[in-house]
Amino acid sequence: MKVRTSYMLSHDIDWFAEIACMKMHFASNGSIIPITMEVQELRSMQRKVAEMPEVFLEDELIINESYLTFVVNRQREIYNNYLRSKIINDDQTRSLLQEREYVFDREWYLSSFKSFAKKGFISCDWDNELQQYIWVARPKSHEELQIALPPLTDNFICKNVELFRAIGLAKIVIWCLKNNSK
Amino acid sequence: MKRGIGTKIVSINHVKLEQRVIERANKIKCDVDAKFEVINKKPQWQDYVPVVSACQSNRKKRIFYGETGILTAKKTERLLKRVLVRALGPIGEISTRTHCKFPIGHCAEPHAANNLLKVQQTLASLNQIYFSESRRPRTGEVIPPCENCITVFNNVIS
Repeated sequence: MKVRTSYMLSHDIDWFAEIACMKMHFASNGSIIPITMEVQELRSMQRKVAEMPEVFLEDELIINESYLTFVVNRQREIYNNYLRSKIINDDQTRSLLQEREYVFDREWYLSSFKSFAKKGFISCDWDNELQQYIWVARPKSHEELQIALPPLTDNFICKNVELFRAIGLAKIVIWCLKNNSK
Repeated sequence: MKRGIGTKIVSINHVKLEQRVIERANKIKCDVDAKFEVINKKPQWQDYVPVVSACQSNRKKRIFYGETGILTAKKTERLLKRVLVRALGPIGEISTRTHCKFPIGHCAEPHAANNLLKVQQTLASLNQIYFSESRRPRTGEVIPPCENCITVFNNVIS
């Protein structure tokens, strides 16, 4: 049985794929997974990843700080809109909320992505506003992982070429596209 | 009329609503992560929900939660169903009246409102329901409401 569209739209699914020998983790964030997958296949892959040991330490990871800054600014803007909204209509509540300010919980935000990066994956998140996957955390060095993952399709690569450019894989992606189009 | 409903108006504690939705999102994350980190046993994978929301009516202090998921017309409370269908179209389909790509009734907000309406059936209007900002359990991010939710709920944080 294939993973149903309704399920994909209502869940933040962890799925995995391979491109040019790089193992990738994707957090779907309620978007459609671009590769067709059987439920059983997805679950078995998730289980295998869960059982994998962490091979990198915290300081052996690279965090996409520029994307994180973008997220923090966007979050602050959303939160300020919330404070300005017509619903918070009394000054006392507004000042109470303003005192709290927006606190971006960096650890909470990164924890899931870091856990996959520690296992050797390039961990990416689906950005609903930008409508593309962005890498969030990855290991500094490459580790050959003993896990078979489905290769990504050309269609996915075309849509997310920025992701691969950002993680320094643009050349490989272009090479893949050229070779596949022949 | 049920006791306590219809006459008394309670003030909405937005600070509490905000705290509670953060706690709820954190709990969901912890529960999912706990299943993932089972040691010496086969880990049971559970996917996160993308968004969680909380709401409260101006009649009672009780807070209700909702998570993104499928809402069927059969399980939708009468008032919510009427407003959703009138404003957006059939529940479960993509609305042709907005640009929202999510199916009608699919978001965390209608789920929270539906859970509230199951208990507080005498509410006359959805305008009596106030929402917290929505949160994503995986990252703790604040998620702005979609166009459908802004259209239907007057008191959604937009």
